[in-house]
Order: sequence, then structure tokens, then C-alpha cells
Amino acid sequence: MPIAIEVPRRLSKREVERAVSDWKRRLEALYAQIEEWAVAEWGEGCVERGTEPQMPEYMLEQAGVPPRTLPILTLHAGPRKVRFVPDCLFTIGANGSVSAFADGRSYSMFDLGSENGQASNWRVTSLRFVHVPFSAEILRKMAAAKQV
Amino acid sequence: MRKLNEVWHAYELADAYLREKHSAARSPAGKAKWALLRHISAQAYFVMLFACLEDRVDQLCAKLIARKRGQKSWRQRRLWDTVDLERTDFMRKVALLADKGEPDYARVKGLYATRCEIAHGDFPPVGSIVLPSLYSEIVRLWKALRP
Repeated sequence: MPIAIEVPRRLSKREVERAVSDWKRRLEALYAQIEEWAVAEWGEGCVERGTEPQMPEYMLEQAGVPPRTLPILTLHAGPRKVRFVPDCLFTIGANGSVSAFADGRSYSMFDLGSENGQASNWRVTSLRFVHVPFSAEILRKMAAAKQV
Repeated sequence: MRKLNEVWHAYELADAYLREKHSAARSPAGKAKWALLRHISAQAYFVMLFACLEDRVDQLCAKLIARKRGQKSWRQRRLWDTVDLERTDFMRKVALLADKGEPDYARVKGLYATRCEIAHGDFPPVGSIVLPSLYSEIVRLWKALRP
């Protein structure tokens, strides 16, 4: 099923609440995957979890759903740090996006899966590459501050 | 294709700056301001990327029509002689390059609908554009459309 590329229809309060819950679940799953890769590479304790208020979005506002807090993750890869912060959930061309910041470099991540019960399909974009599948190798490059 | 890549590169540079600013903002108002600027920037660059695809469609259609008009038999070329590209709307041109029943046609139509909402001043507040994804889709369609 291809990802929606048109302006989405307005959603009901229940649909928006369900989408936000699913977003939180997908973020937790993404961070669990990052943690698994990170621990294998940099050892126990290299990952720090936190929360941030959800970005105000029109869909939330029109449905009367208050922004929640969403999980964030900071990876301590030796002296380097990579911070993952959720951006928008209601997007055209993907099912949510996350920004990653790694000591002066930043990356845009987006989920191309998750429609109709599919698994997430996270991709990474930066200045040099578009649409690279997110993997342990890409995470290592992000932490090494090489231009991915 | 070069122009398409240049627009993409300009966007990624601009968005890298905006997402840094967004991340560094401390107050909710500051975060909202930078989020809005990212939103607007993605919409503007999307319209430019789509303009590259429109140009590609024009070029491919012109090529197709020239080829069809070059046929010896009047029976075969008569319909093509009546086609006026200048007066043909965009989705009709796309229908010359992709089967209307196939997914590629539907994908261009979907992108075109979003482009029109933005280009006509009705900036869609619903859904922030994830430009990397749409850029890849435009590149794919760029290659898939055939005269």
C-alpha cells in the first residue's frame, strides 16, 4: 500500500487519539531498536530516555486533542551524542517524522510503513543521501558524525 | 533531472538550518514559530519540485506528439494533428504518458492535488509535508513516465 501523498481528510477526535497512541507506540519501538543496536556497539547505559511535549499540530487542535508528552532518546556514543526528537505525526508523504541531531549535523527521519497495520519502515535523509533505510550501520555513521 | 536535484539540495540545506533552530528553541512559542517555518519551507520546495515534473511532462508530450505526427499515414496521425499541448491541461498530458488505470497516473494525480492546494494559496494546515518522501516519489515518476 503506497503512502498517502494527498492532503489528508480531517479526522474525528477518536481517530486522532488513536493515531497519537499509535505514534507513541511506534516511537517506543524505534527507540527500542536504537537501544538494541547501541548497546551492542557502545555497551550498557549508552542510552538515555526522556520526554518532550508533543509538537502542536493542526489535526490535534481541530479535533480538540491536547498535545501529549512524547518519548525522546539521547544516545551517548563515546564522546558523541545523538538526540532523537519527534517532529510531526500528521504528515503528507510519510506516517510521522523524527529529527536526529548529532553534534552539528542533523538528520530527518520518517516512517514510510505503519499503514493498515504494517510494520514501521524508517528512512533517514541528510544532505548527501535521500531515503536511506535506517539501520545499525546508519546509526553508527550518525554517531561517528560522518555525513550520512 | 539536474534541476530537480538542485532544488532538493537547496531544500535540505534550508531544512537542516530550520530543524536546528527548531530544536534549539526553548519556549513553546519559539518551537511553534520554527515548526511553522519548516512547514512553509517544505510546501514551497514541494511546489518547485513538482514544477520540474510538470516541465518533464511537457517535454515528453512534445516528443510523443512530434513522433506521432511524423507517421506517414494520415489515418494514424490525424488525431495527433489536432492535439494542442498549450491548451491541454496537466492531467490530460499525464494521461498521454501513463495509463489512467495504473498506479503511476494516480500518484501524479495525488501529488498534483496537493500542489494545487498550495499553489492556489490554500496552504494545507493539515499534515506537514515530508519532502524527502515526496522528492523520491517525484524522481521515481520522472523515470517511469514514457513518451
